[in-house]
Amino acid sequence: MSDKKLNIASSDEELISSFNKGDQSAFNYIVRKYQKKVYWIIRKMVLDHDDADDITQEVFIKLYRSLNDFRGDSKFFTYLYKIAVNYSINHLNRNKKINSRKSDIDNSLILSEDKIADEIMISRDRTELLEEAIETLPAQQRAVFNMRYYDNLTYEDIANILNKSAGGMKANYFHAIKRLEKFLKCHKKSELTESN
Amino acid sequence: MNTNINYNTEDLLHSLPDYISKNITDPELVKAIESKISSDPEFKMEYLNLSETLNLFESYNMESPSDAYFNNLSVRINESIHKETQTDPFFKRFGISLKFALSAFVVLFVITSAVFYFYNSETDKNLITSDQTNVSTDKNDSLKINESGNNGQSHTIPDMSVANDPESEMKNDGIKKTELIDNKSENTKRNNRLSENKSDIQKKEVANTLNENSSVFSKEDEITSVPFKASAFDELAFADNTGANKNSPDLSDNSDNTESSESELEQNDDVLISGDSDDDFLEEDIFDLTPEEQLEIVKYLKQS
Repeated sequence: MSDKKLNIASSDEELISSFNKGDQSAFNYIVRKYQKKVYWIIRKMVLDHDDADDITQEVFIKLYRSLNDFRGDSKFFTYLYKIAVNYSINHLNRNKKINSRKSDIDNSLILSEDKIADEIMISRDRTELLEEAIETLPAQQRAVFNMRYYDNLTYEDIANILNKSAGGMKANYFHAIKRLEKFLKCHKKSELTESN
Repeated sequence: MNTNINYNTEDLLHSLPDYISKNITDPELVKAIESKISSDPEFKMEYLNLSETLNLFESYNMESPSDAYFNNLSVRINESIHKETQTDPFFKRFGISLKFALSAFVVLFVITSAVFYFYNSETDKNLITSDQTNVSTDKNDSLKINESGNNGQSHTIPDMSVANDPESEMKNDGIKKTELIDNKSENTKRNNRLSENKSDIQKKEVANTLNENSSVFSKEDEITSVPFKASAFDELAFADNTGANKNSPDLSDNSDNTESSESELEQNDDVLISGDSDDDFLEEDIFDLTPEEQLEIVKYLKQS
């Protein structure tokens, strides 16, 4: 039997195996290894730090309970990613009312030929505006956008995480960007009318 | 060579974000998109708008939490796990065994109640189909049980229950049912006793007739007692066949006259019981006869 000492750089298989044998410290290494990644997956979904903190803890508690059931059919990080995304989607769906208020975009305000100019965003914090744009996205579209745009996951991986088809994910990504574009153009027009 | 053949506009449109992010690995698809951008102004406009939107998000950075946060995160997660395991609800700790016990209890309860209900319904059916018992409930919820075999006498069970008290009503229902069951069993016993008495009377009548004849003729001619006994049996057989003998009651099984004959038989019970010594005499008398005579008597009895 190998007495290899566990650390944060140990492989997922070693850590999981040790944990399943009753070594609680193995789970601490798993947490320390993946806590930042999990936090940022969730943070990009829910945007708020406190919400992200709560959900991150819930995800690791879930992992602690279900790690015995992990059979290694997929990569461990994909498994963890899936839990994180699903918990984030559930959180967003619970707070749907808040999001729906912001997603009421008046299509009449959209000028398709206008371009988004940086100077229009002077009066507003750009980050705040982009967050508002992300908040307009439905939970699944937001998840697809984050996974593809920020984390560069393949459509197959995204489909696997969300239990959907890969082709559908591609369309979902396109529609998510179109929705963001629509929101930003809408605010460009409204700010123009405010300035006049 | 036209590379657009394999891709429709929708495919190319959906692939535009990946083309902008340079995530397309298929060179033919890249060529198809580029040729579409150059040939289709609407598609080109779409490309420019998407590019601008995605460029905005490239500059989007969220405020990162401090390193201290991540240092404490694992500690807080462990604390949360420890709390969760300590405050596991009762049902989770004793999960499987408690679930089995509860489900077993529920199943037992259902079976018991079903059996109880079935038993009660069967008893009710028996009471309804009972041919001699009429149950009537008056306004004061008192129960009267009229039995036709009991000379129209009625037992009245006063209702001791409090009005509108479901528990006491249920108890009284139970009492009434047991009373009815008791009465039914009494009726059955009484009927059995009556049928036994009938057969006893038959035997005793025969015995009495034999005794009377034998006592009369034995004084006149003791030697010729056999013919006399034969003639007595003739008379008896004649009486039984014609039914003309008024001294002996008609003991044939006539259901119409059952009630009256039963009452008569009941009245004669005491008299018949006291006639056991006559039976002994008859038996002794028969054993004194020759086998031929005994066979003859048996033949007569069979005929009668």
